[in-house]
Amino acid sequence: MLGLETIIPESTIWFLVKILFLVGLLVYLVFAAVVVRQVHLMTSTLQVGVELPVKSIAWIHMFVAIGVFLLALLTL
Amino acid sequence: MVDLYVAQNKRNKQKEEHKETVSDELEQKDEQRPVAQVEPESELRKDPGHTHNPLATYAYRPENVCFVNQEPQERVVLLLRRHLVTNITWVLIATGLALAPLLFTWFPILSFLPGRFQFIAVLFWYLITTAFILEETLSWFFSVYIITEKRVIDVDFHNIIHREISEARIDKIQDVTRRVGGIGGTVFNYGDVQIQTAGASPNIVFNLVPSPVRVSGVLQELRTHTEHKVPQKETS
Repeated sequence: MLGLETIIPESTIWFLVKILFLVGLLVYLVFAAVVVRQVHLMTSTLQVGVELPVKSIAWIHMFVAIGVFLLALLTL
Repeated sequence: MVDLYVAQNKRNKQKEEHKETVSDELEQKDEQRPVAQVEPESELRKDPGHTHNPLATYAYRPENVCFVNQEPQERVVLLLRRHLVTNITWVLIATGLALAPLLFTWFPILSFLPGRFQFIAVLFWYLITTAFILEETLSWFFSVYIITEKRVIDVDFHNIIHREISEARIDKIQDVTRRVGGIGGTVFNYGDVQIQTAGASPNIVFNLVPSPVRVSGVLQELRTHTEHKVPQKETS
């Protein structure tokens, strides 16, 4: 690690780590979107009267993922 | 000269008689039209397994249940899911995932990262835990086995992106086998119900469903009912 710092500045290393975090969170955002899509498919396959809460949970999950992504973008 | 007043009266009378005849015919047609059978709430409550709980794993004649490709007069007789106990494994895993960040206080493996990176890492960890819980819950909730008066349907969501629906008609069922095994199955009364069908229809297996004996009993009733209906249709 010490050797690496002489080649690459510390700020660049943390910038690369930030990029890794953001890429990971972006992949998770795609997954969250897939969850919303699949919940829609699931509720259209079977209706038992709890479609609204289930869809709400999927959307809230997606908004939380977006929030964490934005937080990482701004704070890291 | 024609007595118009009398003629008008006669005409009105004829019209009224015609109207009565038409309304009588309509009433007769209404009586002959099959009325949608609506079971009163008191009758439903007497059936064992009838419940209003949308999370139930065994629901006899559930209300407000619809599924894809349901026929207009087709009603759900039994709605089944895997027994609740079968979820213990992933619940324990999820609990471990949720408590894992607490270990970081004793084993600071993220100490090389600055504080803000550690915070985002912990948030990301909980997002992954949430995704795991969501996927397992949705997979359990929407993977159902449905028995109607006409068909047996297996709706399977293997994971969040893979859906499989198999169905077989009740009159094509040749054999029903139930299997209860293991400590969990014996203690909590859950097991498999295997349905063998005739011809090219796939065999359907209800995996880890509660009360497999009652399930096979319901299937047997429906098969018997279907067998008795078919000869009547052939004679008419």
